[in-house]
Amino acid sequence: MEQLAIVLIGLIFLMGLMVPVLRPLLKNYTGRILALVPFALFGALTFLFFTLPDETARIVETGFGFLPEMQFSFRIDGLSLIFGMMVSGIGGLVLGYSSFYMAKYAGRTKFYFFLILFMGAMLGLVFADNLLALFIFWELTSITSFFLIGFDHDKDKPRQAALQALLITALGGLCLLFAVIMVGNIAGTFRLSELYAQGIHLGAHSHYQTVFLLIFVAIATKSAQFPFHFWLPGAMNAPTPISAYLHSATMVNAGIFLLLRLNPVMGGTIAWKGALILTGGITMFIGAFFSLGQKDLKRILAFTTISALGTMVMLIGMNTTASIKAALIFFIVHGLYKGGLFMVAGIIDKNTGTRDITRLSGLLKSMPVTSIAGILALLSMSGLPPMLGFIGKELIYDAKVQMPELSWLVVPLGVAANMMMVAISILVFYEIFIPRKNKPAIPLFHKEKELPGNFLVGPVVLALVGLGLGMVPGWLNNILSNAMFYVQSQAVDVHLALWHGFNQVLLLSIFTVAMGTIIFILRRPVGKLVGIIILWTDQYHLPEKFNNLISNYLNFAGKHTNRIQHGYHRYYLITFFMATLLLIVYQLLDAGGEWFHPAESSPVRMHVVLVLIISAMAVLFAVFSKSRLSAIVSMGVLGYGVAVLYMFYGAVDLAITQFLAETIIMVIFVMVIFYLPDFAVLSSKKSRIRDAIIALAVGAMMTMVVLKARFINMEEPISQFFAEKSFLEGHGRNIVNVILVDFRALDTLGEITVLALAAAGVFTLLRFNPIKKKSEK
Amino acid sequence: MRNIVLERIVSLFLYVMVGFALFLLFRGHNRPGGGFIAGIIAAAGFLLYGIVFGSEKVLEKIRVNPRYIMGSGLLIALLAALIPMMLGKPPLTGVWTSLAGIALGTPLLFDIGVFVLVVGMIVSIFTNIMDVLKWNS
Repeated sequence: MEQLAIVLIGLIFLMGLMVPVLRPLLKNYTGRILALVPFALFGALTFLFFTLPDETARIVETGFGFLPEMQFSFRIDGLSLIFGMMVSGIGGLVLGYSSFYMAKYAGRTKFYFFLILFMGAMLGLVFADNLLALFIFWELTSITSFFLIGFDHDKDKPRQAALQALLITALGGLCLLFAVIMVGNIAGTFRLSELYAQGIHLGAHSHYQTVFLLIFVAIATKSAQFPFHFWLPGAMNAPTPISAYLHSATMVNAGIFLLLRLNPVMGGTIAWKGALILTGGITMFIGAFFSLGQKDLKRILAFTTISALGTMVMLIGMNTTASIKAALIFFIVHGLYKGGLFMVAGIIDKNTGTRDITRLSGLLKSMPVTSIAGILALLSMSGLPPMLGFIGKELIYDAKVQMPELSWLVVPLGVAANMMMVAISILVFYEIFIPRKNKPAIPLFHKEKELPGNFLVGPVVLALVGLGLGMVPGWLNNILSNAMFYVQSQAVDVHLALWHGFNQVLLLSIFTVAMGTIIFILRRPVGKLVGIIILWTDQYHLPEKFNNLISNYLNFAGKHTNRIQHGYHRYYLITFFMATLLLIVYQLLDAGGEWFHPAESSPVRMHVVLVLIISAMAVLFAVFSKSRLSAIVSMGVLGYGVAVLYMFYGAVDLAITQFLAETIIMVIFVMVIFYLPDFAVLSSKKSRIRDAIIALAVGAMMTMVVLKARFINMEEPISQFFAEKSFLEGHGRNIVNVILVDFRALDTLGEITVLALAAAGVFTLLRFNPIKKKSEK
Repeated sequence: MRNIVLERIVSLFLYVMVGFALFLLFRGHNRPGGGFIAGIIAAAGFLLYGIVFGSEKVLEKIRVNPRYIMGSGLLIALLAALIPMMLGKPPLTGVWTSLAGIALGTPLLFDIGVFVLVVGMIVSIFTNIMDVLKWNS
């Protein structure tokens, strides 16, 4: 069964890549039909869910990987099952929902392509057993979510939001990569199963602080923790199905997942507890607080997600059995109600044309099914019985009250945040669902009032699951025990129940609800107060600050790039020659030794001297000539002179090549030069002198190199080898040619490729003429 | 002004040069010569032809787009790299067979590839230049 599950994950990836082919075949049913695969996966996982024994994990090797250290091996244990079921189940519902929601959008192929790949990446992340594989899937979720958030790419706002989300989560991804490599180096393995089996804990290691900091940045960016929380409200620019999926089961929950995964390896230290509790607490509070001041339904939900993520991070930071249990349950609770609420918001938006809670009203009467699904989800959000949310909240309070040392801080903070959650739930309920006299009911677009039943499947199923699990929470016991074993690395028996008896925690709950209601009754003054505070914090509006930071950085980079890449060919050449000159002269002088061996010098031969004199004269003529043509011809004379020298010293092949190349170059040069404007002196005397000095210095350097080359042998010369093997193994007497086509054939292959590229370059330079093309039009 | 004598000589000379180039190509392994030199000589023949008759006539004469010639040269050279791989040896290893006492091997194939590519490259460059700069009288 576990192999089947992994195959289905692979199938999801394949399906995503096949979307461009499948969509024309499946037409408008694409979303609904493709949703079958995640549902099948959900089914397979459910089977495992009920059959997986306690304290075991199933490892599936695919035998496939980019590196020996980076095998795509997967592990199925309680933790990955909980996350995997949420990802695949909600993923299937979201796909079905988008089949209706996106029906009139353009670019649906792109939408399904990225949505399904996103789902596959998230599943891979959740089930990965190898930390490097986990990192790859982590980055894949960042990239695909970038395209999903920026789906309306022709509008400014989604583009900016997508870029922001990408930059922030990519920063976290980079940190994660470093952290994973460090963990791998310290522990000697990248595999979670080995890390767990060996019971490695990095807490005592000297690099622990660094690794923890990197992991912390990774999860804080991904899971939208303060001060990186600001990308998440922006991400609601995505189409609603995407928001539903991003917020409920994927993306932002990847950080939570990573924390739980690494808890046995890194958790429980002072740094871990301090950083996570503090950040989580702040995030939880400000998320709930800012949600009170919003008018847009999706924005309200986005801020409550931030609060929920803060809660989970804080619970994991507390690192007690009760808190981990609470975090796991709360992840399920939050996924169920947040997914449902976003889908409800999408339906309301479709049917009324607005998401503004001040304009919506009386929906309970006009859209009863949608409203009931929404109300059930709101009940869960405010933590009221009989929903699963109630159990989740009880567990959270329980964990906080039991927390040693810090309960004085976490309990009030948690109660305050929950009070606001209750208040916002009641507010939303009151504003949009209840029919009221002084607020006119909003007209609906759809004649039958409710949208077609298919639309409602998602939110209704999620609401009913939340309700059902609230009634019979015992179903979760087994899997939670298994997950707890791998998170806490000790066996824990979990027993969930709706009714915990009359105790301190229940009192806290009642107090919370009462205070929430009071906040709701005082909503006008509270709303004003929140408004004032939001206005005040807008001075430090983080998204804008972030954008400024990016644009300043780009300006800075642009300026400096312009300074280095100025586009003047002569200065590039000067830089290049000077750098080479300095480095090589330094090396030559550093090498020491003799430059010239008098005993080796052969007698001066007259014909050689004659060739040299003619060449030198040709060079001087080229320098001082006032005509381009004669300058080129005299350069040709130099070339032939060099060829003659090769001839004198017996390098016949070289000489022939030099002659021929020189001839061809001259002919082509003449062809081109003929059409240039008349010769003119454009450079000043100063720059000519500067160029002359550089040219002479480079010439001197080359002379030095040639002289010195005689005396420097880093390795034993291999000319003897070539001479010996050329005929015996290369079947050729012409050593030069055998070297070219046999011994050093790879070099030649590279060189002829460069030749082909050069010809292509000439072709483009000559033929590509944008100005001409425009005028032709 | 057309110069009949020059035209006759040049069109004859083209064959002489290409023939000489092929001769150099095949003897290159034992005596001075080889693919690169042979390629330049053959291309020089076409260059001369082009100067007298214009680039269009050159393209007519060789019939194939010089860019394709260049590409096939690269492919032939690559083939010489791939054949040893199919025989389970590292790429570009020389594989030899003997045909009627003459040793034939992939290095020769490689040399032919170099020859074809060099011809294609030079012809491509100069015909383009002549065409764009209106050297066709």
